[in-house]
Amino acid sequence: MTEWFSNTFPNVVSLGWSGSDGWLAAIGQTIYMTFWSALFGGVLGLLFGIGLVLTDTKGILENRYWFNFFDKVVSFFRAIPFIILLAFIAPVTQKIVGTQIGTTAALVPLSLGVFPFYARQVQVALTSIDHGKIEAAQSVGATFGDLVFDVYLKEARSELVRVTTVTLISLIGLTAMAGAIGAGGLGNTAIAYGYNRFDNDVTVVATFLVLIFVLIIQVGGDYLAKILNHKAS
Amino acid sequence: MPEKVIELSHISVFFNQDGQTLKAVNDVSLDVEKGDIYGVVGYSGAGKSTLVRVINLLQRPTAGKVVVNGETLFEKTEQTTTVIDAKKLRPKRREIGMIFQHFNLLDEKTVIQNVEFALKHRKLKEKQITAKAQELLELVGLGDRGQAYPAQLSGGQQQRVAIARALANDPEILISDEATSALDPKNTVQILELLKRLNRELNLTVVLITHEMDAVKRIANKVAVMSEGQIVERGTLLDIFTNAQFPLTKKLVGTESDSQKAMAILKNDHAFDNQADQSILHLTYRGSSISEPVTTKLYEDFSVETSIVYGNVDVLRDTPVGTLFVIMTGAKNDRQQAIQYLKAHDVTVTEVGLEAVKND
Ligand SMILES: Nc1ncnc2c1ncn2[C@@H]1O[C@H](COP(=O)(O)OP(=O)(O)OP(=O)(O)O)[C@@H](O)[C@H]1O
Ligand SMILES: [Mg+2]
Repeated sequence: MTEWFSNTFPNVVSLGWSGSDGWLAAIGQTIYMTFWSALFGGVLGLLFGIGLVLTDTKGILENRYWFNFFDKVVSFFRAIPFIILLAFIAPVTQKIVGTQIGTTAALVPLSLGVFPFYARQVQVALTSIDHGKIEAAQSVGATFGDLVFDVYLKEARSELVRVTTVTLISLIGLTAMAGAIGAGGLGNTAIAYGYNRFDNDVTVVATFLVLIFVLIIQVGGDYLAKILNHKAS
Repeated sequence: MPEKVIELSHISVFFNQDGQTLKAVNDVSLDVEKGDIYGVVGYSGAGKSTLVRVINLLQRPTAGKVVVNGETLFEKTEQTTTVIDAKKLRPKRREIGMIFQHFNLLDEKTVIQNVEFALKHRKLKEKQITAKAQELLELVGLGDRGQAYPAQLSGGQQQRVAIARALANDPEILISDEATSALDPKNTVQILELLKRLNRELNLTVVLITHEMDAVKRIANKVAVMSEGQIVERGTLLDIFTNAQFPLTKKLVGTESDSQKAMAILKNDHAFDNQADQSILHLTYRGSSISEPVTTKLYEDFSVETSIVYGNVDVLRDTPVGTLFVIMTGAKNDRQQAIQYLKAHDVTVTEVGLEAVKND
């Protein structure tokens, strides 16, 4: 078995498990980047998504100016291709992280890259809530906090899990590109050690590992979305 | 003098749609007294929902004054606009329960959590909140379904949960906006009977918006008819049903169809030969005050013959109300005396013009 593996994937084995170029490091970097940028970008995206819905016409904080602000910011960042965003915000990254390259530096563009996508997804999820639920809540004297947490977020929770799943998966895609600024990760392994060196076996294994990540997130997300949903089908 | 719990004065609600002004509610005044079950009827788009949503300011009027339990929630005059501030509006809204056509329960909360949600801001301990919510569920007959999710209940049961939620803060007023429109006849009756019971037992004032006349007949004591943003007719249930003036009202309450049927019979049948000694009368009466003995009595005392062309009995709030179309034959004087006699016995008498029968 081991022999078969080292014969079929010689370069995979020679990259080694540990070490700075090793598989463990790559996997760790992918998880690190996905986790933190999902957290930062997610919070930002959630805030913008909620902001968009609340300030929209018929929203409980209807306000055209704020709506336009959220809308324009989200559209602006969505319009920039990620690979360009990496370069474009390098000075900002420098200010925040102190360096423009490396795994931690990649968190800034990753967060900014994923937040508009997530904001739109959250917007769609929250817009799907029947306005009647809001009115019913208001009619029993619900406060702003009740409306946001008990109605909007809670009623849409299953949808929110679903869009979070989609966002995480596309975020993994973005982390692969972060290799361009030396962030490492499985995407970088596939390109730098696999594709560029014509070591296809490395590319195949890196891709396989990314697929496993995606699969875990997808299956986990679907399950969570299902158990959190009590709406009539 | 009954206490007014809702006073809407000169309420208008205009919407701007593509540069045009849509007058959803146009200068409507409506007073609802304590203990009323006030039916508001009218066709779709008449402005019923918009009007009642003004009561708890879910809809802010363009003009007018809203007073609930003596407190002014909104007043707009030429010069100034006064709106109760948000902090005071919330507790005020809790004095006004509201139920909706599509129940509007929170799907991700259990039945009991839906009721508890309404109690969230009461200064009660968690245990007391749960106890109160349970009590309300028992009131609506769902004491054992607290742990279910709304989607697991039937429409009628969901509406009862919505009623429990609406009653959580012991409101004096309950607004029901088409609350039975999505239900089957059996559930409709159950919900209406529940509202009637709450009205009786808790002295709950109910504003009942509906386009189903049967609902109004069953439980309302007063009725307002809306058309194109205005109240075109209003009165007690009996008034509206026996003495409707406005064509739309007649159509809604079925007077129109009654008289159409009667006229059709008269035209086809030659019972009525259009003699000078005959008149066609439309009689409406409460209870069972008219029947064979009356016809006999009219014949004996006034020597007029009464033959029934068409008859129908409706039940208004448990009281039967009859409609009769009769041909009365006899000397003019005798007929007049007979009519006086009927009127004195609480029968509403309308003489039907001959042209109604002769035409076409
Ligand atoms: N928020 C709104 N913006 C614009 N127009 C509105 C709005 N709400 C209601 N309208 C319009 O106002 C009119 C009255 O609507 P409303 O919902 O009060 O009627 P309704 O009598 O309750 O009808 P239904 O029996 O169908 O519920 C309609 O023409 C409707 O399209
Ligand atoms: Mg309506």
